Amino acid sequence: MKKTMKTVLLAGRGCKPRPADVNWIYKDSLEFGEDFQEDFKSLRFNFAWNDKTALPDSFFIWMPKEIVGGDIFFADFFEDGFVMAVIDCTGHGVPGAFMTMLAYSALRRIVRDEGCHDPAQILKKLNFIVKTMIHQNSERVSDDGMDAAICFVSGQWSVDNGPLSAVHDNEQRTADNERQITFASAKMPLIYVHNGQGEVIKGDRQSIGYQTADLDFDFTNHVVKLERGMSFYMFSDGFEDQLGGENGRRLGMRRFKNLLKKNAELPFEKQQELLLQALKAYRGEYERQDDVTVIGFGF
Amino acid sequence: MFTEKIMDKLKIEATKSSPEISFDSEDNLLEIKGVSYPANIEEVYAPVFSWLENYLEQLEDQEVAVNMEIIYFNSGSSMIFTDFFRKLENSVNKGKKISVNWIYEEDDEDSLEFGEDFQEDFKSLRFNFVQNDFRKLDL
Repeated sequence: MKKTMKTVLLAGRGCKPRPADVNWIYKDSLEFGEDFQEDFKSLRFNFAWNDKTALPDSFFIWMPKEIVGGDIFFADFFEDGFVMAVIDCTGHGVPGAFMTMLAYSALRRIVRDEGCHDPAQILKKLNFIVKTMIHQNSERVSDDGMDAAICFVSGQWSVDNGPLSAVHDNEQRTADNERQITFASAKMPLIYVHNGQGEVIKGDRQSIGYQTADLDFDFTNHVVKLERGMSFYMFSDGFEDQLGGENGRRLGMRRFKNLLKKNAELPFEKQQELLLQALKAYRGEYERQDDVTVIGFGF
Repeated sequence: MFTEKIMDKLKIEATKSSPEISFDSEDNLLEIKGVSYPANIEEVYAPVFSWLENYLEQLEDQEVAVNMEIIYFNSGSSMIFTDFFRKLENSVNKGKKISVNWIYEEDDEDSLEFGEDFQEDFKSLRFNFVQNDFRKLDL
Protein backbone atom coordinates (compact mmCIF):
# COMPACT_ATOMS: atom_id res chain seq x y z
CA MET A 1 0.00 0.00 0.00
CA LYS A 2 2.79 2.38 0.92
CA LYS A 3 4.44 1.82 -2.41
CA THR A 4 1.29 2.63 -4.36
CA MET A 5 0.80 5.84 -2.44
CA LYS A 6 4.25 6.98 -3.33
CA THR A 7 3.69 6.33 -7.00
CA VAL A 8 0.57 8.43 -7.10
CA LEU A 9 2.21 11.25 -5.20
CA LEU A 10 5.14 11.27 -7.57
CA ALA A 11 2.86 11.18 -10.56
CA GLY A 12 1.06 14.13 -9.08
CA ARG A 13 4.25 16.09 -8.64
CA GLY A 14 5.61 15.14 -12.02
CA CYS A 15 2.71 16.44 -14.02
CA LYS A 16 2.17 19.55 -11.89
CA PRO A 17 -1.61 19.38 -11.85
CA ARG A 18 -3.58 22.51 -11.29
CA PRO A 19 -5.54 22.52 -8.05
CA ALA A 20 -8.70 21.78 -9.96
CA ASP A 21 -7.17 18.55 -11.16
CA VAL A 22 -6.40 17.33 -7.71
CA ASN A 23 -9.91 15.99 -7.46
CA TRP A 24 -9.22 13.70 -10.34
CA ILE A 25 -6.04 12.45 -8.81
CA TYR A 26 -8.12 11.47 -5.83
CA LYS A 27 -10.73 9.94 -8.07
CA ASP A 28 -8.11 7.87 -9.85
CA SER A 29 -6.84 6.76 -6.52
CA LEU A 30 -10.22 5.37 -5.54
CA GLU A 31 -9.58 2.14 -7.32
CA PHE A 32 -7.00 1.37 -4.68
CA GLY A 33 -9.78 1.05 -2.18
CA GLU A 34 -10.77 2.48 1.10
CA ASP A 35 -7.54 1.83 2.96
CA PHE A 36 -5.85 3.97 0.46
CA GLN A 37 -8.38 6.69 1.04
CA GLU A 38 -7.91 6.46 4.77
CA ASP A 39 -4.18 6.88 4.30
CA PHE A 40 -4.67 9.75 1.99
CA LYS A 41 -7.26 11.64 3.89
CA SER A 42 -4.61 13.76 5.48
CA LEU A 43 -3.08 14.75 2.21
CA ARG A 44 -3.23 18.47 1.75
CA PHE A 45 -4.65 19.63 -1.50
CA ASN A 46 -1.75 21.91 -2.15
CA PHE A 47 0.67 19.02 -2.26
CA ALA A 48 1.27 19.36 -5.95
CA TRP A 49 2.63 22.86 -5.86
CA ASN A 50 6.12 21.90 -4.81
CA ASP A 51 7.64 24.77 -2.81
CA LYS A 52 5.28 27.39 -4.09
CA THR A 53 2.02 26.55 -2.46
CA ALA A 54 -1.26 28.06 -3.41
CA LEU A 55 -2.54 28.31 0.12
CA PRO A 56 0.16 27.61 2.63
CA ASP A 57 -2.32 27.68 5.50
CA SER A 58 -4.91 25.12 4.57
CA PHE A 59 -6.15 21.60 4.94
CA PHE A 60 -8.37 19.39 2.92
CA ILE A 61 -10.35 16.44 4.20
CA TRP A 62 -12.05 14.41 1.53
CA MET A 63 -13.40 11.00 2.45
CA PRO A 64 -15.95 9.46 0.08
CA LYS A 65 -18.05 6.85 1.77
CA GLU A 66 -18.10 4.51 -1.17
CA ILE A 67 -16.04 4.04 -4.28
CA VAL A 68 -17.99 6.70 -6.06
CA GLY A 69 -18.41 9.73 -3.90
CA GLY A 70 -20.96 12.51 -4.12
CA ASP A 71 -18.75 15.27 -2.74
CA ILE A 72 -16.63 17.34 -5.07
CA PHE A 73 -13.94 19.82 -4.35
CA PHE A 74 -12.99 22.36 -6.97
CA ALA A 75 -10.47 25.17 -7.01
CA ASP A 76 -9.14 27.40 -9.71
CA PHE A 77 -6.73 30.31 -9.55
CA PHE A 78 -6.80 33.48 -11.60
CA GLU A 79 -5.02 36.77 -11.73
CA ASP A 80 -7.70 38.51 -9.73
CA GLY A 81 -8.13 35.83 -7.12
CA PHE A 82 -9.24 32.25 -6.74
CA VAL A 83 -12.48 30.31 -6.75
CA MET A 84 -13.06 27.44 -4.40
CA ALA A 85 -16.13 25.22 -4.32
CA VAL A 86 -17.56 22.28 -2.41
CA ILE A 87 -20.48 20.42 -3.94
CA ASP A 88 -22.54 17.64 -2.41
CA CYS A 89 -24.52 15.67 -4.99
CA THR A 90 -27.44 13.45 -4.09
CA GLY A 91 -27.99 10.13 -5.72
CA HIS A 92 -26.01 6.96 -5.34
CA GLY A 93 -24.25 4.58 -7.63
CA VAL A 94 -24.46 5.41 -11.31
CA PRO A 95 -26.85 8.39 -11.03
CA GLY A 96 -24.67 9.80 -8.26
CA ALA A 97 -21.52 9.37 -10.31
CA PHE A 98 -23.22 10.97 -13.26
CA MET A 99 -24.20 13.95 -11.13
CA THR A 100 -20.68 14.52 -9.84
CA MET A 101 -19.26 14.38 -13.35
CA LEU A 102 -21.89 16.75 -14.60
CA ALA A 103 -21.38 19.14 -11.70
CA TYR A 104 -17.65 19.13 -12.11
CA SER A 105 -17.66 19.78 -15.82
CA ALA A 106 -20.36 22.43 -15.52
CA LEU A 107 -18.36 24.20 -12.84
CA ARG A 108 -15.23 24.09 -14.92
CA ARG A 109 -17.07 25.45 -17.91
CA ILE A 110 -18.55 28.33 -15.91
CA VAL A 111 -15.46 29.28 -13.96
CA ARG A 112 -12.66 28.51 -16.33
CA ASP A 113 -14.13 28.79 -19.81
CA GLU A 114 -16.68 31.51 -19.24
CA GLY A 115 -14.49 33.30 -16.71
CA CYS A 116 -17.32 33.79 -14.23
CA HIS A 117 -15.86 34.40 -10.77
CA ASP A 118 -18.92 35.72 -8.99
CA PRO A 119 -20.16 33.04 -6.57
CA ALA A 120 -23.85 33.95 -6.81
CA GLN A 121 -23.66 34.00 -10.59
CA ILE A 122 -21.76 30.72 -10.66
CA LEU A 123 -24.54 29.07 -8.66
CA LYS A 124 -27.23 30.44 -10.91
CA LYS A 125 -25.43 29.19 -14.00
CA LEU A 126 -24.75 25.84 -12.35
CA ASN A 127 -28.42 25.52 -11.51
CA PHE A 128 -29.34 26.19 -15.12
CA ILE A 129 -26.85 23.77 -16.63
CA VAL A 130 -27.54 20.94 -14.23
CA LYS A 131 -31.27 21.29 -14.32
CA THR A 132 -31.62 21.56 -18.06
CA MET A 133 -29.21 18.70 -18.64
CA ILE A 134 -30.63 16.17 -16.26
CA HIS A 135 -34.27 16.94 -16.74
CA GLN A 136 -34.33 17.03 -20.50
CA ASN A 137 -36.16 13.80 -20.28
CA SER A 138 -39.17 14.43 -18.12
CA GLU A 139 -39.69 10.68 -17.78
CA ARG A 140 -36.83 10.56 -15.31
CA VAL A 141 -37.99 8.84 -12.17
CA SER A 142 -35.53 10.07 -9.64
CA ASP A 143 -35.01 13.69 -8.86
CA ASP A 144 -31.38 14.43 -8.13
CA GLY A 145 -29.55 17.62 -7.49
CA MET A 146 -26.90 19.13 -5.33
CA ASP A 147 -26.00 21.48 -2.55
CA ALA A 148 -23.08 23.76 -3.26
CA ALA A 149 -20.86 26.38 -1.68
CA ILE A 150 -18.71 28.69 -3.74
CA CYS A 151 -16.26 31.31 -2.62
CA PHE A 152 -14.08 33.77 -4.43
CA VAL A 153 -11.07 35.22 -2.66
CA SER A 154 -9.91 38.38 -4.33
CA GLY A 155 -6.37 39.62 -4.35
CA GLN A 156 -3.51 40.35 -6.65
CA TRP A 157 -2.21 36.87 -7.02
CA SER A 158 0.56 36.44 -9.48
CA VAL A 159 0.19 33.36 -11.58
CA ASP A 160 3.12 32.13 -13.62
CA ASN A 161 2.76 28.83 -15.36
CA GLY A 162 0.39 27.55 -12.77
CA PRO A 163 1.76 27.92 -9.27
CA LEU A 164 1.02 31.07 -7.36
CA SER A 165 3.70 32.97 -5.61
CA ALA A 166 3.54 32.51 -1.90
CA VAL A 167 1.34 34.79 0.15
CA HIS A 168 4.32 36.05 2.07
CA ASP A 169 5.83 38.15 -0.72
CA ASN A 170 6.29 41.80 0.18
CA GLU A 171 4.32 42.84 -2.86
CA GLN A 172 1.43 40.79 -1.65
CA ARG A 173 1.26 42.59 1.66
CA THR A 174 -0.05 45.77 0.10
CA ALA A 175 -2.68 43.82 -1.73
CA ASP A 176 -3.77 42.18 1.52
CA ASN A 177 -5.66 45.30 2.48
CA GLU A 178 -8.06 44.96 -0.36
CA ARG A 179 -8.54 41.28 -0.09
CA GLN A 180 -11.99 39.94 0.59
CA ILE A 181 -13.87 36.71 0.36
CA THR A 182 -17.22 36.52 -1.41
CA PHE A 183 -19.34 33.55 -0.53
CA ALA A 184 -22.61 32.22 -1.91
CA SER A 185 -24.22 28.88 -1.36
CA ALA A 186 -27.07 26.57 -2.05
CA LYS A 187 -27.87 25.02 1.32
CA MET A 188 -24.31 24.76 2.50
CA PRO A 189 -22.91 26.99 5.24
CA LEU A 190 -19.54 28.63 5.59
CA ILE A 191 -17.94 29.02 8.99
CA TYR A 192 -15.22 31.49 9.75
CA VAL A 193 -13.35 32.11 12.94
CA HIS A 194 -11.82 35.41 13.87
CA ASN A 195 -10.46 36.50 17.26
CA GLY A 196 -11.96 33.45 18.90
CA GLN A 197 -15.45 34.10 17.52
CA GLY A 198 -17.10 31.63 15.21
CA GLU A 199 -19.50 32.95 12.59
CA VAL A 200 -21.81 30.92 10.40
CA ILE A 201 -22.98 32.18 7.04
CA LYS A 202 -25.89 29.97 6.20
CA GLY A 203 -26.31 30.64 2.52
CA ASP A 204 -29.54 30.35 0.57
CA ARG A 205 -32.11 27.63 1.12
CA GLN A 206 -32.28 26.77 -2.53
CA SER A 207 -30.82 23.56 -3.90
CA ILE A 208 -29.51 23.14 -7.40
CA GLY A 209 -30.68 21.02 -10.27
CA TYR A 210 -33.79 19.43 -8.77
CA GLN A 211 -36.99 19.45 -10.75
CA THR A 212 -38.37 21.98 -8.29
CA ALA A 213 -35.28 24.22 -8.41
CA ASP A 214 -36.11 27.74 -9.50
CA LEU A 215 -33.99 28.80 -12.48
CA ASP A 216 -34.65 32.47 -11.81
CA PHE A 217 -33.48 32.29 -8.24
CA ASP A 218 -30.76 34.83 -7.47
CA PHE A 219 -28.32 33.57 -4.90
CA THR A 220 -26.93 35.91 -2.28
CA ASN A 221 -23.31 36.97 -2.13
CA HIS A 222 -21.89 37.48 1.34
CA VAL A 223 -18.70 39.52 1.55
CA VAL A 224 -16.18 39.31 4.36
CA LYS A 225 -13.12 41.53 4.44
CA LEU A 226 -10.06 39.43 5.02
CA GLU A 227 -7.96 40.09 8.05
CA ARG A 228 -4.89 38.38 9.34
CA GLY A 229 -5.66 35.44 11.54
CA MET A 230 -9.03 34.62 10.00
CA SER A 231 -9.82 30.99 9.29
CA PHE A 232 -12.47 29.82 6.85
CA TYR A 233 -14.16 26.44 6.58
CA MET A 234 -16.26 25.01 3.77
CA PHE A 235 -17.79 21.59 4.19
CA SER A 236 -20.44 19.14 3.11
CA ASP A 237 -22.92 17.92 5.71
CA GLY A 238 -21.14 14.59 6.22
CA PHE A 239 -19.15 15.69 9.24
CA GLU A 240 -21.94 17.29 11.27
CA ASP A 241 -24.41 14.56 10.30
CA GLN A 242 -22.26 11.71 11.56
CA LEU A 243 -24.21 9.57 13.97
CA GLY A 244 -22.50 8.46 17.15
CA GLY A 245 -21.99 9.38 20.76
CA GLU A 246 -23.80 7.45 23.45
CA ASN A 247 -27.26 7.64 21.90
CA GLY A 248 -26.49 7.47 18.22
CA ARG A 249 -27.34 11.09 17.60
CA ARG A 250 -25.92 13.48 15.05
CA LEU A 251 -22.66 15.15 15.89
CA GLY A 252 -24.47 18.38 15.10
CA MET A 253 -23.63 21.83 13.88
CA ARG A 254 -22.97 23.28 17.32
CA ARG A 255 -20.40 20.66 18.21
CA PHE A 256 -18.78 20.96 14.79
CA LYS A 257 -18.59 24.73 15.04
CA ASN A 258 -17.12 24.53 18.52
CA LEU A 259 -14.49 22.11 17.29
CA LEU A 260 -13.48 24.49 14.53
CA LYS A 261 -13.50 27.45 16.88
CA LYS A 262 -11.46 25.71 19.53
CA ASN A 263 -8.71 24.74 17.11
CA ALA A 264 -8.75 27.68 14.72
CA GLU A 265 -5.54 29.18 16.09
CA LEU A 266 -3.55 26.00 15.55
CA PRO A 267 -1.60 25.21 12.40
CA PHE A 268 -3.97 23.87 9.77
CA GLU A 269 -2.29 20.52 9.62
CA LYS A 270 -2.93 20.12 13.33
CA GLN A 271 -6.53 21.29 12.97
CA GLN A 272 -7.12 18.63 10.37
CA GLU A 273 -5.68 15.95 12.59
CA LEU A 274 -7.84 17.04 15.53
CA LEU A 275 -10.99 17.16 13.40
CA LEU A 276 -10.43 13.66 12.13
CA GLN A 277 -9.71 12.41 15.63
CA ALA A 278 -12.88 14.02 16.95
CA LEU A 279 -14.96 12.52 14.15
CA LYS A 280 -13.57 9.07 14.73
CA ALA A 281 -14.07 9.30 18.48
CA TYR A 282 -17.66 10.48 18.09
CA ARG A 283 -18.49 7.87 15.48
CA GLY A 284 -17.26 4.98 17.62
CA GLU A 285 -18.82 1.81 16.25
CA TYR A 286 -21.34 3.58 14.02
CA GLU A 287 -20.92 3.44 10.27
CA ARG A 288 -20.14 6.47 8.20
CA GLN A 289 -23.41 7.51 6.52
CA ASP A 290 -22.07 10.01 4.05
CA ASP A 291 -19.07 11.47 2.30
CA VAL A 292 -17.10 13.82 4.49
CA THR A 293 -15.45 16.91 3.04
CA VAL A 294 -13.99 19.77 5.04
CA ILE A 295 -11.72 22.45 3.67
CA GLY A 296 -10.01 24.91 5.94
CA PHE A 297 -7.88 27.85 4.95
CA GLY A 298 -6.58 30.94 6.60
CA PHE A 299 -4.74 34.17 5.99
CA MET B 1 -57.60 -7.62 -10.62
CA PHE B 2 -56.57 -4.85 -8.34
CA THR B 3 -59.01 -4.77 -5.49
CA GLU B 4 -60.76 -1.73 -4.14
CA LYS B 5 -59.73 -2.56 -0.63
CA ILE B 6 -58.07 0.27 1.22
CA MET B 7 -55.20 -0.68 3.45
CA ASP B 8 -55.89 0.23 7.05
CA LYS B 9 -52.34 0.14 8.17
CA LEU B 10 -48.93 0.55 6.72
CA LYS B 11 -46.12 -0.72 8.85
CA ILE B 12 -42.49 -0.70 7.79
CA GLU B 13 -39.87 -1.75 10.28
CA ALA B 14 -36.83 0.43 10.86
CA THR B 15 -33.47 -0.63 9.49
CA LYS B 16 -30.01 0.69 10.21
CA SER B 17 -30.52 3.38 7.59
CA SER B 18 -34.27 3.79 7.28
CA PRO B 19 -36.98 4.85 9.71
CA GLU B 20 -39.86 3.02 11.25
CA ILE B 21 -42.97 3.99 9.38
CA SER B 22 -46.40 3.35 10.76
CA PHE B 23 -49.44 4.84 9.11
CA ASP B 24 -52.85 4.06 10.52
CA SER B 25 -55.99 5.17 8.73
CA GLU B 26 -58.24 4.25 11.65
CA ASP B 27 -56.47 6.46 14.16
CA ASN B 28 -55.52 8.94 11.43
CA LEU B 29 -52.00 8.86 12.72
CA LEU B 30 -48.97 8.84 10.44
CA GLU B 31 -45.63 8.28 12.13
CA ILE B 32 -42.10 8.35 10.77
CA LYS B 33 -39.45 7.72 13.33
CA GLY B 34 -35.70 7.16 13.29
CA VAL B 35 -32.96 7.80 10.76
CA SER B 36 -33.28 8.08 7.01
CA TYR B 37 -30.38 7.57 4.63
CA PRO B 38 -31.22 4.40 2.72
CA ALA B 39 -29.28 3.62 -0.44
CA ASN B 40 -32.46 2.38 -2.12
CA ILE B 41 -34.44 5.41 -1.13
CA GLU B 42 -37.11 5.11 -3.81
CA GLU B 43 -37.78 1.50 -2.94
CA VAL B 44 -38.15 2.36 0.71
CA TYR B 45 -40.57 5.20 0.18
CA ALA B 46 -42.57 3.97 -2.82
CA PRO B 47 -45.11 2.06 -0.69
CA VAL B 48 -45.37 5.03 1.63
CA PHE B 49 -46.44 7.31 -1.17
CA SER B 50 -48.88 4.89 -2.73
CA TRP B 51 -50.49 4.28 0.66
CA LEU B 52 -50.62 8.01 1.29
CA GLU B 53 -52.31 8.76 -2.01
CA ASN B 54 -55.04 6.22 -1.36
CA TYR B 55 -55.45 7.50 2.15
CA LEU B 56 -55.68 11.17 1.23
CA GLU B 57 -58.23 10.38 -1.46
CA GLN B 58 -60.61 8.72 0.92
CA LEU B 59 -59.95 11.13 3.78
CA GLU B 60 -62.88 13.28 4.82
CA ASP B 61 -62.90 15.76 7.66
CA GLN B 62 -61.11 13.70 10.28
CA GLU B 63 -58.17 15.33 12.04
CA VAL B 64 -54.89 13.80 10.99
CA ALA B 65 -51.70 13.90 13.05
CA VAL B 66 -48.35 13.34 11.38
CA ASN B 67 -45.58 12.60 13.83
CA MET B 68 -42.11 13.17 12.48
CA GLU B 69 -39.35 12.10 14.82
CA ILE B 70 -36.26 12.03 12.69
CA ILE B 71 -32.83 11.89 14.24
CA TYR B 72 -30.99 12.17 10.97
CA PHE B 73 -31.95 12.41 7.31
CA ASN B 74 -29.69 12.81 4.31
CA SER B 75 -30.31 15.16 1.42
CA GLY B 76 -32.08 12.50 -0.64
CA SER B 77 -34.50 11.94 2.22
CA SER B 78 -34.93 15.66 2.50
CA MET B 79 -36.34 15.64 -1.02
CA ILE B 80 -38.61 12.74 -0.11
CA PHE B 81 -39.93 14.60 2.95
CA THR B 82 -40.41 17.67 0.80
CA ASP B 83 -42.60 15.61 -1.54
CA PHE B 84 -44.40 14.15 1.43
CA PHE B 85 -45.18 17.55 2.95
CA ARG B 86 -46.19 18.91 -0.44
CA LYS B 87 -48.80 16.18 -0.77
CA LEU B 88 -50.05 16.91 2.72
CA GLU B 89 -50.18 20.62 2.04
CA ASN B 90 -52.10 20.08 -1.18
CA SER B 91 -54.69 18.18 0.83
CA VAL B 92 -54.82 20.92 3.45
CA ASN B 93 -55.49 23.38 0.66
CA LYS B 94 -58.42 21.19 -0.35
CA GLY B 95 -59.82 21.51 3.14
CA LYS B 96 -58.37 18.48 4.91
CA LYS B 97 -57.36 18.82 8.54
CA ILE B 98 -53.75 17.72 8.78
CA SER B 99 -51.03 18.89 11.11
CA VAL B 100 -47.46 17.83 11.63
CA ASN B 101 -45.83 17.26 14.98
CA TRP B 102 -42.13 17.80 14.48
CA ILE B 103 -40.54 15.99 17.39
CA TYR B 104 -36.96 16.81 18.26
CA GLU B 105 -34.60 15.99 21.07
CA GLU B 106 -33.89 18.52 23.74
CA ASP B 107 -30.75 20.50 22.80
CA ASP B 108 -30.91 19.40 19.20
CA GLU B 109 -31.29 22.80 17.65
CA ASP B 110 -30.34 21.49 14.21
CA SER B 111 -33.40 19.22 14.15
CA LEU B 112 -35.63 22.05 15.27
CA GLU B 113 -34.20 24.20 12.51
CA PHE B 114 -34.80 21.52 9.88
CA GLY B 115 -38.43 21.42 10.95
CA GLU B 116 -38.71 25.19 10.87
CA ASP B 117 -37.27 25.17 7.37
CA PHE B 118 -39.99 22.77 6.26
CA GLN B 119 -42.61 24.96 7.90
CA GLU B 120 -41.29 27.88 5.91
CA ASP B 121 -41.67 25.92 2.69
CA PHE B 122 -45.15 24.68 3.49
CA LYS B 123 -46.89 27.56 5.12
CA SER B 124 -50.43 26.25 5.07
CA LEU B 125 -49.44 22.98 6.70
CA ARG B 126 -49.37 23.46 10.46
CA PHE B 127 -46.21 22.35 12.23
CA ASN B 128 -46.13 21.90 15.98
CA PHE B 129 -42.65 21.75 17.39
CA VAL B 130 -42.50 19.27 20.19
CA GLN B 131 -39.48 18.79 22.37
CA ASN B 132 -38.89 15.23 23.35
CA ASP B 133 -36.67 15.16 26.40
CA PHE B 134 -37.18 11.50 27.11
CA ARG B 135 -33.66 10.66 26.08
CA LYS B 136 -31.18 13.42 26.49
CA LEU B 137 -28.46 14.18 24.03
CA ASP B 138 -25.09 13.33 25.39
CA LEU B 139 -22.90 16.38 25.54
